[in-house]
Amino acid sequence: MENAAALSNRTRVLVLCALMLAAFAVFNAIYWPLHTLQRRRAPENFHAYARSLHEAGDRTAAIVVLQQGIERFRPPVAAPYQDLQSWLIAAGQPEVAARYEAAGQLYAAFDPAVDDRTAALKAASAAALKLRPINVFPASMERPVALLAVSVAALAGLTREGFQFTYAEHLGLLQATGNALSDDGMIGTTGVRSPVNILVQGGGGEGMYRQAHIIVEGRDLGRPRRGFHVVLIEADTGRVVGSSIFDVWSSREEAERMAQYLEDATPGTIGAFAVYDDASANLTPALLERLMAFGLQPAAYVQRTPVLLGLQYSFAALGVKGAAPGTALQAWSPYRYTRPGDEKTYYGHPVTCGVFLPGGTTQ
Amino acid sequence: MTHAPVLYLVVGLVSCLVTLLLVPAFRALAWRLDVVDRPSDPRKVHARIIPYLGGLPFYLGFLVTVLLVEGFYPQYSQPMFYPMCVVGTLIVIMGIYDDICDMGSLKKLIIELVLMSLLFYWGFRTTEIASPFGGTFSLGWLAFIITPLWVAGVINAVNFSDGLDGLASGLVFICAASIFAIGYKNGQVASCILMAYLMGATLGFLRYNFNPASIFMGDAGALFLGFVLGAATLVENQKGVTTIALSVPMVVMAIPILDTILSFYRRLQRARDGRFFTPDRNHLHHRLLDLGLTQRQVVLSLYYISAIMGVLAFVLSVVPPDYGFLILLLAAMGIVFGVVILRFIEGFAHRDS
Repeated sequence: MENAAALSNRTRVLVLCALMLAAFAVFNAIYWPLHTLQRRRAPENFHAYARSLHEAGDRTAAIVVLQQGIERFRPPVAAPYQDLQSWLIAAGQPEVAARYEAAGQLYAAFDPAVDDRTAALKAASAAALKLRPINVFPASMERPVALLAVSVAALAGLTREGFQFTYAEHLGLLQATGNALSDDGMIGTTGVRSPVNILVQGGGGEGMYRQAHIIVEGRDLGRPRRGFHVVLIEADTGRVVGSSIFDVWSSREEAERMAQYLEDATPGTIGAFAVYDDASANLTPALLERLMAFGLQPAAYVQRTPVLLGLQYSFAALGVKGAAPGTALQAWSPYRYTRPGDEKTYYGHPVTCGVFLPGGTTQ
Repeated sequence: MTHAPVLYLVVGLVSCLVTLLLVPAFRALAWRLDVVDRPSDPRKVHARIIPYLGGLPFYLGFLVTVLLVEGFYPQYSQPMFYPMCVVGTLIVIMGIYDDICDMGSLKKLIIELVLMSLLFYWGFRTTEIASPFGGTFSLGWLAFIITPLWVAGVINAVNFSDGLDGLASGLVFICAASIFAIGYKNGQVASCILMAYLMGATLGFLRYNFNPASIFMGDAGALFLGFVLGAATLVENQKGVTTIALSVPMVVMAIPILDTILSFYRRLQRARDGRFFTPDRNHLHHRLLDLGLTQRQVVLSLYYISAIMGVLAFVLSVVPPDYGFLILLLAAMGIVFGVVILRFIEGFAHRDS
């Protein structure tokens, strides 16, 4: 105590501050390498991580990381698909590589530097149809399919007038964006067959990406209004029993209202969901639970956590009330990618889900 | 983001364990460096010399918590944790200086506001405040003034309440538990992690600080706890699309905040004599002691009132805005009624003496 009393206040302050600063320095010495490593391994950085693994010679792991990343994030850029395709071909798996060919070609066509976009889109569509040919589909859906395909092609700078595609090519184009289309009327793996043709398209974000269409037998129930668009359809008759829009971006009350709306739906009812602009800001756990009761599941990722929706994600889904989570048809696209040469503007693209009744018009 | 109850439990346990293990070491260091509180000031209610530095393990526990989350639960690591570590370090250094050299209140307030402006720059801000009548007020440029003032206010509220054994740590524990419950209900992961840390750290510290205390947290500890509590109320607002309701933490922390406001009012009255920044012995806990209550009784009474406020805050967060206003009114009436009763009893006590 006597020795301590001899210390000046300044010395005491210096000793203790030095101790705390040393602790902070040790913290930094551990934190930053750890943080850098974790960031590199973060799911959203899958492409850079896969490339580093590939360069390090761990090609199998690189393929796995890239496949998982594409499945989780559905990136609307060409490079991940093109890399994966070439790595799979090099690994002797050309059949698997073909799955990624169409998406790679499609997103490459979005690049403003591409000269002949029509040709690029037709090639992407052909690649998608080669993988999963659709020979029979209903004539009544020709116009809706064209409408939705044009909205995807518009991202490549094509207008309706400059976009002369066939019905099949339109359909191939929708498939190429990694959408969830069913050509046998079955709604995912819910075990329920839709009695009507349904097409759902949701576009998050701004500008031309922003849209919501829920087309039931040719009738579009979507509106140009922000939020979650929901249409409920009777599974036996195909009758639309409810249609509503919930601005889940603006308030929790809207989320609660939507949760109640879904809660009140009769078990077995088909639910069609599309997001216009954003519906993630106030997506409450209760609402997520009600959506999962329709067979939807948090399949996208934000900050390493599975989520149903990120901010301004495009989203479309078709589910059935009472189905197990993960059984619904679900498509999404994150609004976090940039185009070559413009690193400041983020974008995604509209995504589509649909069920077509078999036995339609043969093309 | 989905909740991680195991993470919250681990964070709480680790911060509690770090505090339990490090407090004896810092107590020994405080004796060795003679960083102690001598009961020479009439504001002091203890009769013997008590060492400071009990709050430094809070800071070290926070660093360990951030490393733990980054290392084992990277999906829950938040970008705002590191800025909190930086500003927290500066706060602790200021607290150490204040514990040893007794920094003036004005200087302290200015530094706090500068540090909180730094925090504002890093994105800790509230641009909208929930109205008790429903809807929100947009703060606009006022956010730059209100945000640092809010966090500095919470820091000082915790610091002012650190006048009795176990009072500040217990009140922070209750506040953290209430905000944790509200955050859990609302799916606010970052807030829950920080509150789990605060609960663990304060609970561990109460082992040494509850009456009769063997160590004080000192300004370093009180300022750091207040900082984490204040900053944590803003972390969920960083996404820019959610609206934080400051009314909820205000109700949770009603007791320390009320004490701070009353203290500010008394200081304004003293300002004519040029003694605005001079502390007094009229804080709520001092006045309850003067009524003849023991330290434990005062501390437990304030815990009790704070716990009721915590429950009210939770109710406030679940009811519709119309009823929320009624609850705020009820809380305000309860506080006013409490102050009136206190003044009434004090009047009797003075008359009898």
